[in-house]
Amino acid sequence: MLRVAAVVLLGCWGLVTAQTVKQFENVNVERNIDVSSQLVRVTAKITAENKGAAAASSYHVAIDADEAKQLSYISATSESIPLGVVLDKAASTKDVALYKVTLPTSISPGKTIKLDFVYVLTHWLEPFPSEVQQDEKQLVIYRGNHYLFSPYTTAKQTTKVKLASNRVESYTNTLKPNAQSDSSVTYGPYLKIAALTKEPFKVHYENQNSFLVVKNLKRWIEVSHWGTVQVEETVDVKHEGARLKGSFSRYDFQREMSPSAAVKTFKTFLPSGARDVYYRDEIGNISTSHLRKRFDAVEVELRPRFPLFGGWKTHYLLGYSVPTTDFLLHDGVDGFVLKINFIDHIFDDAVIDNAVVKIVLPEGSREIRLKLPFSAQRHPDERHYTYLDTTGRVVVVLSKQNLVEDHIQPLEVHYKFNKMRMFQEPLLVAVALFILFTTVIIYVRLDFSIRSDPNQEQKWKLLSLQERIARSQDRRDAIYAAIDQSLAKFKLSKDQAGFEASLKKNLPTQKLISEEFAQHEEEAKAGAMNAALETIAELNKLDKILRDTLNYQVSILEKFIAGKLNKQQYTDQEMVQSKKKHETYEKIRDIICKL
Amino acid sequence: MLDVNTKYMGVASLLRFCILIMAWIVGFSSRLFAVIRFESIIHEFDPWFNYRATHYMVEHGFYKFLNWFDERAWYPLGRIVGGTVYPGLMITSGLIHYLLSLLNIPIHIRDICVFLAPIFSGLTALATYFLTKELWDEAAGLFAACFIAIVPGYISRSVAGSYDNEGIAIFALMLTYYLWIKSVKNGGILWAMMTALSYFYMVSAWGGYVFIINLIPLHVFTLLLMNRFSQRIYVAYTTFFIMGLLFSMQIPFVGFQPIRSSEHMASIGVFGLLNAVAFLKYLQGYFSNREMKALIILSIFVLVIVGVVGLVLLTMAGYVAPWSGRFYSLWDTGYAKIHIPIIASVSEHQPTTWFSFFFDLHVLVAVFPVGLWYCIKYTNDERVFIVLYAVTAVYFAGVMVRLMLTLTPCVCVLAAIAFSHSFKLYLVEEETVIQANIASTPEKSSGGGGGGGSRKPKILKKREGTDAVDVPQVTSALGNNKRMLVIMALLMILMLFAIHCTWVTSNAYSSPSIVLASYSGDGSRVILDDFREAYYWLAQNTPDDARVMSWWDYGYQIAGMANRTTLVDNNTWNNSHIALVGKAMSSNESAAYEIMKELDVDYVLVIFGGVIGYSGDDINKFLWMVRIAGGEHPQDIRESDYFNAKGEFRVDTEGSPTLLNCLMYKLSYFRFGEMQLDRRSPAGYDRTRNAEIGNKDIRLEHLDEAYTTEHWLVRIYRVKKEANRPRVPYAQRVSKQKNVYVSKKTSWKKTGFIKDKVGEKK
Repeated sequence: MLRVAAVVLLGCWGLVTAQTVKQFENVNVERNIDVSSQLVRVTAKITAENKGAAAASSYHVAIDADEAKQLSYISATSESIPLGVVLDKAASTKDVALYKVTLPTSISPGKTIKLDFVYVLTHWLEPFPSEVQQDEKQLVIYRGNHYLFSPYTTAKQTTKVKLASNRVESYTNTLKPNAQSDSSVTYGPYLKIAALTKEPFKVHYENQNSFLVVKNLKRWIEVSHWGTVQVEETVDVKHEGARLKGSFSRYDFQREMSPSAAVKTFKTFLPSGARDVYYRDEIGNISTSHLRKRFDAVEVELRPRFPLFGGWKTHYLLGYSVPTTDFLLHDGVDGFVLKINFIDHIFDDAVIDNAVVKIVLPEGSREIRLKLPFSAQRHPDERHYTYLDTTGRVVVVLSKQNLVEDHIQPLEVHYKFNKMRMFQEPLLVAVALFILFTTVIIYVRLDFSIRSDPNQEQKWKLLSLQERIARSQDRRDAIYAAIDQSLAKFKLSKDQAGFEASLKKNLPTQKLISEEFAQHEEEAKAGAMNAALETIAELNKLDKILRDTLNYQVSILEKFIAGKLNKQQYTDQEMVQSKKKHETYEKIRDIICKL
Repeated sequence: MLDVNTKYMGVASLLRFCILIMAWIVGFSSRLFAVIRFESIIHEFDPWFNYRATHYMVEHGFYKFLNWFDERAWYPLGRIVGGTVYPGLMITSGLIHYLLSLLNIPIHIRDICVFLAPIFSGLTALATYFLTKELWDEAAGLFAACFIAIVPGYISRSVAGSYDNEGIAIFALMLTYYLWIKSVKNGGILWAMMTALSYFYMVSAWGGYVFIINLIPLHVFTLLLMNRFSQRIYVAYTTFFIMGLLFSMQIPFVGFQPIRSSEHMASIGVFGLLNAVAFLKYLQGYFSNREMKALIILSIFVLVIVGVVGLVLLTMAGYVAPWSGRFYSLWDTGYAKIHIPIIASVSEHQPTTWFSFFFDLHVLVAVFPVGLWYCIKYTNDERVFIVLYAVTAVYFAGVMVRLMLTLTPCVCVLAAIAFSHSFKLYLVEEETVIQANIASTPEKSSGGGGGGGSRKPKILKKREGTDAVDVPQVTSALGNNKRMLVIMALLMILMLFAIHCTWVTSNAYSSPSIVLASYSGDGSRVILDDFREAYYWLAQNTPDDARVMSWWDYGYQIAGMANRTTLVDNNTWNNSHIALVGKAMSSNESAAYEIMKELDVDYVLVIFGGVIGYSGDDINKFLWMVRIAGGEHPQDIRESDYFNAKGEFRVDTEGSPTLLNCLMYKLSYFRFGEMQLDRRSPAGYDRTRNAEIGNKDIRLEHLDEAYTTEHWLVRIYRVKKEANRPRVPYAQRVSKQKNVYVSKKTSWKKTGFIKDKVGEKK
């Protein structure tokens, strides 16, 4: 009774809108409803005839209000030419959403056109029972309409419902003919159906496919003109199938071989150039993933940390970088086009409840234009600061609800960017380092003390004097060494003349050095540098000893040569002198070392 | 000649710079094993809390952090985090994060936390270099820097990911010591202030600051005993003590402890003593020798009496806290086991074995006494310090494995001195012996003169000298062959040391312990990620306010990774709460359920290693739970009940029935009895304890298995809520139905009734 009333009501509505849209008649409709996954994918092949008086350039498709709420995607083609589909708001009411399909050519009266038309519903299948135990199968109910919901009358139509398995608990069996075979239920053919007729049916069947839903997707796309586009997806996944009842037993889970509705792994396809793929969450890398390179894509087998049963959820990050060559195009002088998918593949038959796409353009991009494949909400631009940014990068923010795989379509971002700005950051680093080093150089070279320290000056003077003393002493030592040498030679060769010659050569220098010492002494006296004075006095004392020893050595050698001393006597005396000399040398060395 | 020297000097400083940089880099990179093998992840237990706290601070700001009351820990008590942590670590990494974000360098705070310890190990190497340079010479300093960079004893606490207080505290420790030595050497207020500041940083970073505040007074005291009192020491210590005291009291966790606890009393006593000595020295000018003697004896007598009596009185009056338990366990290794099982249950509080000395220090442990001997032989004010440090640290390291860490730097310093000295002896050729000595020991020149010879690089002359007697110059003649032989041997030992360090680091200290790796038959590596699997499951699939009961070891990890409320955690401040959890774990299920109801427990988490043979699981720790629970609840839990008649702790059929029916046993082995791991062993064969479990038919009445990880390592149970209508077991029913009554309307009774109304026995 109620149904009749509804039909009558709808019929009235149909009359109202007849003038505007009721121009066609569906000659034949073949409808396929694919409910084997978590999605409801309806494909309808419609042959429509223009019954009106005038030529028609558009065709209307109706979706009933309940379905319209869950409608994710709709498209139409005519002999594989894609057609524009827009919501005809003027014609829609709260019970019916009408979509206007623009036809490729206008159809003159009496002509027919073939249309293929697809729409996808999400969250339409209802798990029943809504809670199952770990070892139970997941059953779902599909509720649909026997007839294609259309604003036009339909002459003949058949509907095939494709199920996930051949296990069907029940299906509506009111309108004949219908049949169930293997994993499908067929309704029809039905003849002569009025416009906007609703005749609900339901199928209760087993569907063990994953009901995995992406609750939130954040897609972060960062463009670098140095050669990569970095993509990072933050994904919240939830299993929205029948909820797990009672306990989870790992023992049963490991023993169980038959497939269950629990999701253990899923595959994500990334663009073919993807590299540096990472799969992680807040607490670190998720070590259970495999990467395989296919010829057209990179396949990542993701395994969540734990299997996902009904009602369980998880959260992860998947990031990768792709070379700009595949995604960034030149567009005139300084112009670039980023062409990248609005969303990308996450897993098969995915439902994405809410997607936010953020595109980070290089610092200094301007004149940003956006070309979207479908309508999406654009939010105010944000700024993002990353490595050494000064003015920040423009972030284009887009969002869209209720997406499916059919939404994997590229969007285009046109923008202008001066290539020279690429060098801004390396230069910044270079300049910073330069400044750092310069500061260090300046700091080290210059004296920044607030007041000069008189003692410091004194100390420096002392140091320099001591250094000079040491140098003079070095030279004096060298002279003595030379004299020693010539003495030794003299001992062997008994060549007095040669020895005296060498003495003559060395003695003036020695005098010179003694004068130097005198100067040092004066300087030390003038500067009241007692330490230096002491050193000089000591050195001079030692020098005198040295000179005396040397003279004595010479004299005994001469005596020995002249035969006044025998060998034994000479050697003894020589030994004593040598030892004395060495000791003196040691002492001098000690003093010098202490300086 | 001078030109040649400047050139040489340039090369030397370049070399020095390069060695230090290399030490830093090598130290940093050898700590990265875990990051390369696994990932950039926080390790173990305590670091997870530090990370969580740091994360909180970065997110909410410093003041929010100081006032943070963590309601997710110690349910239902909560924890005042700001007042119970050493915030130095968090502030350090928070500051780095802040500076980097100012420069627009986006880096996750986790990565800063992970790499903080390796970076600080480089700073420690620098501080050790400077300390050793002050104590001995630059060559020894370079050796010490290289040693500390790679020595396993220090690496064990500072690998990447080991985000713990010790990571930065050792740097603070060495810096404080360096500055202290510096201030003792030149007696400047500036240096003493710097010491106090560095000490402040140390106090903010680690509870081990107590070591400093006892060691420095000990140093001063020893110097007094050695009659080495000087104005320098007076200035250095008084400045350091007062400023250090004030600074340390700024840390909320420390608060008034520096004036109220026994651990700090030594520093106060020495402060008084030092002032008394200074005063007596001043008086010396006014009295004759004999009078002075009497005065000194009298004053010592009075001081000691007043000090001791005062301290005792204050302690008795409650103004000064007596030694804490942990401190007692330093003197008596058996103390903790009897009185504080919770301290004894931690493996790092066990006495050190000889093996671990060699394991952690290798050749250094054999060589450092040589350095110690040199320091004693050529003693001066600052070398007294390192001697005292070595002696005390060796003792403490022997008492607790954990304190190996404080010993390590001093062993590095002393071994460096020994090595450097030996090398100098054998490496430098006879003619150049003196030159080399001069070049490498700048402080040998006498303090007043500070002279300079032509052979001395100019820069070295600028450094102030010491007044101390010093090591005689080596002039002995050695044959070339002998020299080569010794050098080769030393180099070989050092090489072995480096190899050992790398090996130990790689094998023993680079496991994150929350990710386990095993090698399968074909040599490929299998990662067991069960801990994170379980924690992440908790994080994602339990209510946000769920309370998880587990043994305290996992408290920090649950809070850090799963972000759920825990009952007890690694900050073991409340023994009785831990004992309650231990009691729940060791009681039977229904008794445990009562406790769990009282504690509002939603989930119970246990670690079970029986499937993969993981030895650190809860059954192996179980006796500690029993002991701790038994300490607080002796009437309910008796340790002896868990041993069988033969006094063995067994999980198989011969185990004691109490054990086989306690909650922990049930939770660990639930449904494990059905599981056959391989064909050779029977079902329910526990690989960790190599036994077939004794109770295979485990039924849980009040709990549900909520999640078990892939390798059964972590098992989580849900505590069932009380049934809406309690079911009374048949045995407890007051009136027992004889036969099942079927209500049917018969001729003799028209109306239905309930026969034998079921009632609960109460």
